[in-house]
Amino acid sequence: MQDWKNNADLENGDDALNMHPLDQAFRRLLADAELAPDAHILDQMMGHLEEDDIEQKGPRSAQNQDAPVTPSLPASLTPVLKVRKMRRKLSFAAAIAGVLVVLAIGVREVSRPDSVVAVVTTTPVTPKALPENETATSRAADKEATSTAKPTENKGTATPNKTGADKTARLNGPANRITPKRKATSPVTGPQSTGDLAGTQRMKQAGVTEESKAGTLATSKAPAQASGLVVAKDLSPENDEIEKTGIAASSTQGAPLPKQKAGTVATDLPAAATGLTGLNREPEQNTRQIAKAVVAPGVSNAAGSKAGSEADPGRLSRAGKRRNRGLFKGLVDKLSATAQTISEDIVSQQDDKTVINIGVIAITTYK
Amino acid sequence: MSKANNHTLESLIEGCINNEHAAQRAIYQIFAAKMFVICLRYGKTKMVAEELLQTGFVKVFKSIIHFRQEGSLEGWIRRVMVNTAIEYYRQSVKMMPTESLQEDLNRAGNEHSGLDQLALEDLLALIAGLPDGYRMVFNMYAIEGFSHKEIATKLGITEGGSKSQLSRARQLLQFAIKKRQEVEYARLEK
Repeated sequence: MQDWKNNADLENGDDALNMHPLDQAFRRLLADAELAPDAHILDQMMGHLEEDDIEQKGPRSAQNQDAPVTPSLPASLTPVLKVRKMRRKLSFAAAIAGVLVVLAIGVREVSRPDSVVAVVTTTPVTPKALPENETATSRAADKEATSTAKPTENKGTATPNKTGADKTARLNGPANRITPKRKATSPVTGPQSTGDLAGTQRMKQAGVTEESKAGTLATSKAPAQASGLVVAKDLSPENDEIEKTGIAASSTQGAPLPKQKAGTVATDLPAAATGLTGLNREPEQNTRQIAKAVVAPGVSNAAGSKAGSEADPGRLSRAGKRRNRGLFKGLVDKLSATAQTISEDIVSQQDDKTVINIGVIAITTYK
Repeated sequence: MSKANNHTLESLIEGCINNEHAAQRAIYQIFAAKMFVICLRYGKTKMVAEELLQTGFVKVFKSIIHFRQEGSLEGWIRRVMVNTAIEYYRQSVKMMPTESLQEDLNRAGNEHSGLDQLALEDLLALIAGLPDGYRMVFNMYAIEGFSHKEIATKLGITEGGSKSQLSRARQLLQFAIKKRQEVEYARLEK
């Protein structure tokens, strides 16, 4: 008898003996009984097996392919992927728009005319009390000196004395600068001044022992710009001890202001009073002490007078003509002064704008 | 089985592992009749038996790769068929409420069964006439050799319930056999 439960032969006959007779009879009769099933059962079973094979062969054939199969997401995730792509595109667009907005704001700030930018300037501000007779030109000089000091201004100031003449030089600078046309039309002064101030001479001012920057003056000033500042030096090369400076430099020299006596007086100086010390003095001092010259002993005043007279002969002649016009005396000067004031205001505003714009650009770039 | 038959069975098993339909048909032709009897014992009707047979052979062909050849292939296929019948029973048929029987089980063993006069179809009809639970317990205990504990585990019943159902199944079978014999005697007297 077969132990069908354990799929083994029954070794112990006691189990069969202990069994119930009815159970033994049924097992004996039914254990090895055979009854052929209907044929359609086999067909149905094989049909099921073939269907299962077809279902399993699909993935198997796909797995057997050499090309790697990319995993495909289910169809339910397709809308999610679309939304993700759209969100990615929107994020890019938002980033680009943000950059454009920032740029637009920056350009707008730069282009704003009323932008106020604090610009740190190292130029010392010179508070000064203007005399009553100094009008537009002196105010313009103040504005220039307090706002921004351009390199051209410093160049045009012809500073012979670094310490004592700074204030006056800066005040004189704009006066020279705002009359470029007239200065350019004076062909004599430039070459003369530069030629006379070839940097071999030293200039000694009253109360100042520092060496002058004559060489700087000669090299930095263009002839046209130097016309406003007439520096008359005449030092004999053979005498080093003699330091004579004949400088006709004032903020008003060359400026056609009617009440600005400094320039006129300087140009009208006699030959004996050609050595001026106006560079280290205030404008009012220049006006009052124009003729004061420090002349080294042993030096003839002729040289200084010569230099002073040769400083701006064209200017002298024009000023003389203007004064001799009778009814038109002063009228032309007033008109020119008004025009200069207006032009200087415009120039100063433009300069302010330029500086402000540069500051805005700098700040924007820094940000 | 002879060595030639064993060699044939091994080749058929290899063929079934390789999903060869010819080998599957051959295995079916060899064991279908015996397995169909088992299915008839566990199934109440012929239709259920055929369904069990079909499902059982599909399982055999799908899981034949797990056959370790430690026992006979017939015994392994038989276990698959029995387990298929038990699974079918647990899924579709509810166990009938059982009652503990306090009768002497040995009493039935002393009686003459008279089964030798019955044909196979009659025997199967007697078993098929049992209630589902009784039939399952009787088949598993009397023919397959499961213990009451194993039957209780597989069918999800208590061990006492298995014993009582077995005793009840025996009583019903003996009553049915006796009644059939009386009918047979009456026909012979005519």
